[in-house]
Amino acid sequence: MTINPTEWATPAFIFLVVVEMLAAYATGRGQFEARDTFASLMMGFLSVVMGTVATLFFFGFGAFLYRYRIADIAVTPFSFAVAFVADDFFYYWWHRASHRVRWLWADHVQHHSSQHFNLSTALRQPVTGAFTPGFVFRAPLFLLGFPLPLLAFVHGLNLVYQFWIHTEAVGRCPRWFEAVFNTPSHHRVHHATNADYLDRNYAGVFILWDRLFGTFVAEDAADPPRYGIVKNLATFNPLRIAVHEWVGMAGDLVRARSLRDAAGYVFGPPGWSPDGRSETSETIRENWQRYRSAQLSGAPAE
Amino acid sequence: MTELVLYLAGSVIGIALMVGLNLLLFGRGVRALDPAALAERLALDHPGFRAGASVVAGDAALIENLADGAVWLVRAGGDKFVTRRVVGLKRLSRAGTSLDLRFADFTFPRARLCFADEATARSWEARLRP
Repeated sequence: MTINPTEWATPAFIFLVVVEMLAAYATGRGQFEARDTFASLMMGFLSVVMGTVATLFFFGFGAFLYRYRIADIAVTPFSFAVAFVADDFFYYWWHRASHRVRWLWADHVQHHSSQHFNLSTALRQPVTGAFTPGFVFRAPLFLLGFPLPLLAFVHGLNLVYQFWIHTEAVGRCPRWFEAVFNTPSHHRVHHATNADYLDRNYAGVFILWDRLFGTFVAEDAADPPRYGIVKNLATFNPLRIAVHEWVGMAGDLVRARSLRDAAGYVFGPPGWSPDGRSETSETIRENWQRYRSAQLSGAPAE
Repeated sequence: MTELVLYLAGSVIGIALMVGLNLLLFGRGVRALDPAALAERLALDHPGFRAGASVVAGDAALIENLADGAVWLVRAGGDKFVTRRVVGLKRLSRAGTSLDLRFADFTFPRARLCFADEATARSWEARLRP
């Protein structure tokens, strides 16, 4: 039997959401909207149901690769720590790809679809993960020879850690902690649509990966985060939230005029279009940079 | 299997508790469509946005961007705004003082704008026609 840390932590999740709501009510720090909270929590619920399928993929794929492992790694405190760090490293790359490849984004966008940022947002989990190849990112861990139950456990711990960073109730943590770990401040940036914050701070537990690979941006008090996605959804229906990007991608595929275009719609970044007229994170950032430069130089803005 | 069913049942109770508390503490806040707040938000999202003519029509609003002449539709989505540039409409029809806009947008397929009078409705209809 494998212990699933997220299931064990669920009562604590509920307790902490209630505490955060009461604190937001008392202090005004944090915002809640009932329909948004309902959508987030229902998606968390559905993700547990659908997660059963994804777990079967994980164990099936993992067991297959494990047969070709290069070592037999015993479960010890040291291998546990190494597995935790390694899992977080591969989580970073999966997460980064999930923002840069539309096929993966079609699933991950569900988590980003709320304009609120509170602990209930942490539970707004995607329900279509089984339809993406996300599990291949962890292939090296199976091939290295980490036992599957250990990998499942450390990954669960990683997700439990990420729960508490979805809040506006915590400002900044001590400087040494902000330097090493992912924190509410870093993750507020990640969930924001501000041009300078788009596609930044992909870390799960260790923000060091972002610092190392050039994707880190610190929260700027002068530029408060505006949460959600570039084209915010006009629905609180969990099923519509779950499938909206899949529907958009399918529509684009139907309209694609060539294989190259079809590949771009699936493997290109979200917002990619053959003529480059629709917005991607890059074009949004470039437009703002051009506008700011024009403002500074006194030239008329386009 | 029994464990999963119990877990899911417990989760449903937890969801009811959290949503109920949310309603109790914060109600069902709906953001007021204040043109100044709309313009401010659009300017934060779109470089060079300069608010021009605007109108609040029922639970939605239209606001013109003087920088490029585009018209933006804004609707309150709970206590937040949802905005769309009005472009590539599937259908635009008017019945008296109301305009009906249909979009090829899975989460925002339709907007019905109710204006104060027919002249205003006609004027905005003319702006929105391609």
